[in-house]
Amino acid sequence: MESPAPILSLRNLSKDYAPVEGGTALPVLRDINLEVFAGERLSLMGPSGSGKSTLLQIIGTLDRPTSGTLVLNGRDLSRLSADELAAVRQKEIGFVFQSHYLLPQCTVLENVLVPTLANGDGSKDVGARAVALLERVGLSGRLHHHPGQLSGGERQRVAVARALINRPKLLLADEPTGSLDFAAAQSLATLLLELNQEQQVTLIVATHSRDLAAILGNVCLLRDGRLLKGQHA
Amino acid sequence: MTWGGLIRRSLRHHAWGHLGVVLGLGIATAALVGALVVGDSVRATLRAGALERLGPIHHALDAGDRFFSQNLAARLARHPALAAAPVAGVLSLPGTANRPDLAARANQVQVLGVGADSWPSFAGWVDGADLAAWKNGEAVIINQALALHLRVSQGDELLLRVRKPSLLSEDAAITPRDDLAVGFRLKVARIIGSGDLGSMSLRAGRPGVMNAFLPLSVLAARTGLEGSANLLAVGRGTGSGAVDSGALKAALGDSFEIEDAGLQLLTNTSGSLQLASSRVFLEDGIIAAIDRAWQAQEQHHPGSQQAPVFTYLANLITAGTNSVPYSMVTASAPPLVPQGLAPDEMILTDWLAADLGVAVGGGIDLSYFLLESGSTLVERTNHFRVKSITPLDSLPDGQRLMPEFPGVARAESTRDWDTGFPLRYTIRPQDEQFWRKHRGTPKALISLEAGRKMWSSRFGTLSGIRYIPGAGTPPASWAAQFRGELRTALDPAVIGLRFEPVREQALVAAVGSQDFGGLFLAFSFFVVIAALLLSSLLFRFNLERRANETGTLLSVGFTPRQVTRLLMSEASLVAGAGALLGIVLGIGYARCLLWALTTLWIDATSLTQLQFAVTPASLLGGTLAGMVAGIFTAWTTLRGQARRTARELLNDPVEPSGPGRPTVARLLAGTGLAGAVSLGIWAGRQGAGVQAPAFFGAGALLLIGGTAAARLMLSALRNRVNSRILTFSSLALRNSCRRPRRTLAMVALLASGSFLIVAPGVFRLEAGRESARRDSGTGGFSWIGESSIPITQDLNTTNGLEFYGLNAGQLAGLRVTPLRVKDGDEASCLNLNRARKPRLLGVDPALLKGRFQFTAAAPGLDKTAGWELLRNRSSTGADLEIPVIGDAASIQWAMGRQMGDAMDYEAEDGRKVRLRIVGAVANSILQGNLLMDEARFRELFPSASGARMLFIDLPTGAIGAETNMVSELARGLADTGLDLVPAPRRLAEFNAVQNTYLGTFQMLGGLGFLLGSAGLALVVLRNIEERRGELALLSAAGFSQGRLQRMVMLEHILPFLGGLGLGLSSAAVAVAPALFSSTTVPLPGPLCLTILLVLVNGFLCAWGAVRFALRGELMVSLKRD
Repeated sequence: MESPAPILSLRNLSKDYAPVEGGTALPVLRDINLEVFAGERLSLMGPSGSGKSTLLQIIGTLDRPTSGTLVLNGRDLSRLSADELAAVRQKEIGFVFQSHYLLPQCTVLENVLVPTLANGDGSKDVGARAVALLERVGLSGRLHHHPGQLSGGERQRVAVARALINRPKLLLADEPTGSLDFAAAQSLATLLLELNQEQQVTLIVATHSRDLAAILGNVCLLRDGRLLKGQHA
Repeated sequence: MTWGGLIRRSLRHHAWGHLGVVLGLGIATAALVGALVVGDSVRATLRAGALERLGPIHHALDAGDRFFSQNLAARLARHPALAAAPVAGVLSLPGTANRPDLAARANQVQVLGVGADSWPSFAGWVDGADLAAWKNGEAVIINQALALHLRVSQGDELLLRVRKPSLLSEDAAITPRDDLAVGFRLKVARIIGSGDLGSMSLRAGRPGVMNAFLPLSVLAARTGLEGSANLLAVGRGTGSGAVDSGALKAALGDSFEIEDAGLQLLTNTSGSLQLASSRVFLEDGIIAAIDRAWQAQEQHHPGSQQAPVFTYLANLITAGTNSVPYSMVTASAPPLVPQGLAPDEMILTDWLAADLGVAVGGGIDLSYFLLESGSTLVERTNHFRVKSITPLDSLPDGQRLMPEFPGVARAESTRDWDTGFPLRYTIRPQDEQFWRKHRGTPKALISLEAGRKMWSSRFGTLSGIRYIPGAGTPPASWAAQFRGELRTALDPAVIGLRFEPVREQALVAAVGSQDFGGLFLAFSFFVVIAALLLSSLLFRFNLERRANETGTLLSVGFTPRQVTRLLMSEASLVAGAGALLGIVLGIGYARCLLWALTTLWIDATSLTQLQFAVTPASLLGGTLAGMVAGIFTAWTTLRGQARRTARELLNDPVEPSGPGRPTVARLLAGTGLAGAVSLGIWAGRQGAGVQAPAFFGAGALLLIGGTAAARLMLSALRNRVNSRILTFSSLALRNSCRRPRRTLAMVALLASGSFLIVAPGVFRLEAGRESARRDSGTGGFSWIGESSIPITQDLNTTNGLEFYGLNAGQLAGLRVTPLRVKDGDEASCLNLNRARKPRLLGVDPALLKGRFQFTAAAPGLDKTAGWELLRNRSSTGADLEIPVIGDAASIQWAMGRQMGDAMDYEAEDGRKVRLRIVGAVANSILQGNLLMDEARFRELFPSASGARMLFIDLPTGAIGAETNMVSELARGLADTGLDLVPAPRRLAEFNAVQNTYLGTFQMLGGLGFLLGSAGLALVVLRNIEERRGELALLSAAGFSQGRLQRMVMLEHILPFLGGLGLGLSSAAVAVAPALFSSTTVPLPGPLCLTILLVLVNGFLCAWGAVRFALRGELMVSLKRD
């Protein structure tokens, strides 16, 4: 029986930051090789400056690698234009940041619906799905509240619901519990785990938190831009 | 969730942030709308002025110095084509008015004789007892401008002096000159306003025309013009009766009688007929028409004969030692003189032959004044041989051969003669007896050829024509037929009688010589730019504040284009709100500008009232322009943001800025600074005309180069201070260089702002300082005189001075340059209407040699030829192209013309001529006029006699005596209505317009600059807001609040002073010619005040912003972080 193809594949991926005037380029990621399969979950750990966020942003198409390839669902993303990458983000990737980045002018429900504007999906299904997602993350009573009226943990839950609205195959979370208290962090970690299982969404989380990593399992360690320990490395 | 919903929510959520942008765009739109509304208002005011000065008049025929029958108006009114249109005949004469106590005097008064019964209804005057007194000729009606000038009220008396025109030009040697005006002492019956046609004037000119109205019959009787008028005013008519130019031309042709051309066809006792002119001589145009009529008449009456006649006064007829003074001599052709009379032969009457004691074959000398020699009275003598002697009574109707010589023809006795020359030869008793018995019967006859050779002039080449109907034709029926033929042949236009659509022309002229809308758009340029920059700054800050939001949208799958569209939609709505606010603010701004134009800046308009008017086009145009500018500003700001990735936006909301590519900056700095130096050196070697724009260019290059150098300096400083040991000042300097784009924007804004408000000072004009120089704007003349009544005597001669009772001794050394005047539209910048047909001046080019400064000549001509260009016939091609010269500013602005342009004019005899602009002089007292060679002027306008403008030179060193000389001139020439003005003052009046415009530009520029410095406060606030945590850290590290304030103040004041310094030093280069010249004042008080205000405002804005931003507990920020 043939083994399934990975949903995400990174080959010899490197990233340098452009040199400051008169200086030399700063390497952030070096020769990263990684394969992630559908429905998997993975936590990226490492000290500050090790390149966790940069790697996550490259996987999330928010940044481009300096060299190497990034293949998502069999498509080499490094060759796509900005608009094509936006379409990838829209349909295939959900992103949760350390800061929730909710639009302060919109309600909770509207925030979840914002990504659907980009693909012009104004169907009633979308609204129902948003409500369902918010119910799933435990915010059914907060649909019409504004972000300013929510706690930090609640905001992150909204951000999670927003990340899932377009049914992505890959959910990326960059220090999602970084600004939360312990209880809220535990609750969010559990939610992410459940969603990974329920919705078969591949989950990659960059975190400092050993607790979160422990919950998610499958830890990859980054140090000085190199992937030291992880599956398929 | 929809796009619209998201936009609505964003607008609401960021309302406070948008409010600043709305205000900024509102100000920019207000400046645009306000400027356009000013344009509307000036146009509406000019239009209202045009309609007021013409009232119900739609067409007018202005005959000037030519008079026609008053009843032509009645004949026209009866014409079917004009049935519904009111027609008024008017006698318009120049005059002066005085208060009886001589405490006030008005020189340029238009005295209008109007129909006592018809005019009140024409002009809409209400009836009343005062009107009855006026109709009786006991009182005068004056307009408000005259009443105001003389400070008289209803019932007060005034002295009116009106020009008494001579039917023969006052330039003719034989015209009497001691009865040029007639005086009235009248009560003021009524003072009328513009609504009652009080400001009636056919020409577009400065506001404040002074009018006095008298009953036509009274004015005509007192000026010797009984039954005559020289102006026809025609109303529009109603309904289908509305009159157009074609109908009027046809009606005039139908209604015209030969008497309207001053012709009379008299039947002599012998049965012959005599065609004569009330203007004494027959002009060529009329003679041509008479010839055509004669040819037609001959067809009907074969056998009729005609004999052209030219009778003139011989001062002396001498034969040997005998002579006879003051005799008429007639030049004619057969049948009045025998066939074959040679040009040097003369036929004497027996009376003359006997008196001279001469026989056939004897020699005769005939002395006469050259007709065109005017008051200089040049006498010539021609020699003849007596061909034959004929009995005096053999000349049929001899008395009729003499034309109506003014002052002579109707005198009963030679003692009653009122001639324009002194009777130097003794009139003997037999001469007196001859006159009493035979009046002007010629004492001798010569050939027409000889007569024309001696006496032809621009006034005419015949004095009459004698007709002898064929045998059997009754003279009356012959005359009736001939009148008809003559009427048909005579085109009224040939003698200058033509209707003009004055209302239509006035409305065209009222569009204005200046587009005030455009002018104030230019003046408000910096306000608009500053407001847009402010909006851009605020918009950018808003975007920076919302960078996370934008980054989020990008991260959830929005494309950059979608995000841009979203933000642009929001920005467009904000721009729309700003534009709507701008309408309200713009109307307020326009009202302020209009107030300033009638008070502070009245020198630019001479208008004490401006009507507020708004057109939808201006509102819409201004609003749309403001909105588009706002959207464009947002787009340019957004463009930078759109290039940033989601990661950048989420990680660093404020765009890290480098100040652009150093290569471009190096190139700009190098070329700018090198260009400034080279241009400055080159300009220093050029003449005054080129220096001002060249130095301005050098200053502008320095500004560009300096700004680019500032960018390089910021980079250099950043690198340098970063490697230095950290000190308090180096920290401040490092902070200044931290966001080089913001710092550079501040430097550029302040530098260009200060440059723009100071540098135009180089173009300020100051009269007086070098006015004695012949190449200055005064031409070196000390005084300018303008009279209502022509000055026909040569004031450079003792005789001329004595004629006016002037003390020649007291006026020794006085030199007068006389200029003939053909009235037209005033084409100076003091008249806001477009000058369609500017006033023409005739001058002898030799008298202006070396005076004024020529700035340009028509293509192919050399401006160094100066005034000789006026004589250059070859330069103008066709004969009917006349070279003219004017003031450069008048040509460009008031006339809207260029060098080499041609303007169509009509000569007095109806000929079409083209005036070709061949040269222009700089900034001079000649504004408002076009000058032509006096010789050509006399050909074109023979009736415009004498000089009505004088340029006066006072002897050098006579400064102390100047007052006495001017007083003496004013006294002697008071009856001519002479207004004397120092030439530097007249120039200053003209300069005031340009200076006021510059002042306006600088003041509005200053306003923009103040607005720009508000941007400085915003930058300070934003910089501090971004660095509040950092400042809190410094505070935690032990920096006191005061020390932090000083540091932040220092880092912002350095670029502020740098920008101001760069702008002012660039401006100093631009105004260099003015700094070293005595003719201009580059830095007047208000400008210094503006710079000071900007300086203080900048400090206050920065200090206020620092205080505001560092208020409260800084440590809270640190704790929050």
